[in-house]
Amino acid sequence: MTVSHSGKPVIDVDGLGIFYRLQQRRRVSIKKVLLGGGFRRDAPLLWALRDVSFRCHEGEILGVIGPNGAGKSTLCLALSQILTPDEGEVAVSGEVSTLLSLGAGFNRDLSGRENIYLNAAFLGISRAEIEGKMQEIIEFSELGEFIDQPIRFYSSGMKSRLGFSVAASLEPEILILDEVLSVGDHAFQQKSRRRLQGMMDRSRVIVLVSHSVEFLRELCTHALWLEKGRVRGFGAAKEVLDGYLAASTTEPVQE
Amino acid sequence: MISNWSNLVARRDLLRELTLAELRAQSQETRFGWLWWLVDPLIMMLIYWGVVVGIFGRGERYTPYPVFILCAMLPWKHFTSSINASAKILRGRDSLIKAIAFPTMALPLTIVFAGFSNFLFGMVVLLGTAVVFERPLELLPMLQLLPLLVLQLLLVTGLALMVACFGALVRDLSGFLTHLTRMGFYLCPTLYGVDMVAERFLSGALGEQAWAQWIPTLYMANPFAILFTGYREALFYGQLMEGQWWALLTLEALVLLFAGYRLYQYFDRRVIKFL
Repeated sequence: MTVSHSGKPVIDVDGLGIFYRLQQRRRVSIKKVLLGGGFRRDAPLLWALRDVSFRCHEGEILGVIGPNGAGKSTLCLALSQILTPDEGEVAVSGEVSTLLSLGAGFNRDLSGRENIYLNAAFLGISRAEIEGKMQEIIEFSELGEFIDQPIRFYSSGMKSRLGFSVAASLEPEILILDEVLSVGDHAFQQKSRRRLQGMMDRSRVIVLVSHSVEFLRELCTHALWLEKGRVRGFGAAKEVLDGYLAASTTEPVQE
Repeated sequence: MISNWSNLVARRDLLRELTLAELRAQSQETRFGWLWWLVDPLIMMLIYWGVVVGIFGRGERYTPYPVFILCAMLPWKHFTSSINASAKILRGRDSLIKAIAFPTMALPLTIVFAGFSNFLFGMVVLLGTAVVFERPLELLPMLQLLPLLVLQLLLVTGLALMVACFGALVRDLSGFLTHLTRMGFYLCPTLYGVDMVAERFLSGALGEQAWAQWIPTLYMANPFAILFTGYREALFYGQLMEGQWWALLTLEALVLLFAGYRLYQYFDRRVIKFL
């Protein structure tokens, strides 16, 4: 299935497995802890990802597709090095920038301008760099005078516009996007899509997670089809997406 | 991005921005702004002064009591506010932790740093009070303040890192913490001095018991007992603290910091699955 390619892969995922212990997600009551059995070591494991292997090379755009609960978000967390693998390895050569959610580090009591500094610091952009881009970011966000208001007064659309504007000033080597593309009204969506295109042109490798086959077909060179934490298909985008589309229309929906 | 020393140094911008943001948010939320950092310790001091001296009629051996109580209350408040906030921080910022790769240790560290700058404002109140009540304030004892500040910062950082891990793993921890810190407040020499502990166990009926002889020494194993004593020697009595206590406090602060750092590193990525 894998496409032959010369040169070192930029992303090399080998036998990746990540589990959640189901017990961990439940509330542990005091009674259980006292009577024992509160933290059972043999609690059932849920493998969000298992035996996942694939490689991405320079210049590729990988689309990740799959039904809900397939492990797409967990894969993003592993690629961004937020979660470490329980099994296998994830090797990424280059600086990873992740856009999993916009404006995650915002402090609602601070102004938009102060939050730009804060958000940039979380994303690893230096203060000097962000100061140079400040005017551009404020203009792009279309917030106008609101930029000096505390963001607790912002609508959710305004917040994500600001979040996107900061994130768009990243110069990523490896870009990981998890369906954050629909921001703001129609006009802003057009604008943000153009900006994203620019970022993607400058990135070495892009990983896109989406439910939209059409969207991925338009952009991706390769695709990874996940189902129940395992790889169901990997290869050239067209083949994998066709396979996914065919399966999702013929196979009964389980849920 | 794991929470090790080199990643934290690489992301020192983040530490600075987060601390400043925390302080700015605190001061902009309120009408008095940063004045609260001065008013708050003043009010606390007045309450304890009123209760202990005014109502109970005690504390004459610790005159002026306002200076005496502030020496312990300010570092204690830095400690309790830091661990109470640290217990909740990882759980509270879960969406952030799961969205951006950054050394999450920055979050509890920021709490400790922001609390420390509040504490420094409190020190201004303490120094002002010491001047008003005409404490000796000689140079040499005052110089003890610098190492005390450093040791306090290390001590609180170590404990906050531990509490941050446990707070993320055990949901009930922050409920217990309020009571534990309240208990700690009365067990530590905040309202009274260590001399009173010694007196109580070495003389009178208890003084005849063999085990009671050990209590005052054991009592001083508590790093906060040494820390408060240090501040009092510097600003209340105008004396130098004995070398053994310096050594013990330094040892305890370093051990706790190291333990907290290693514990946090162990749980660093593991804990994210619990959030």
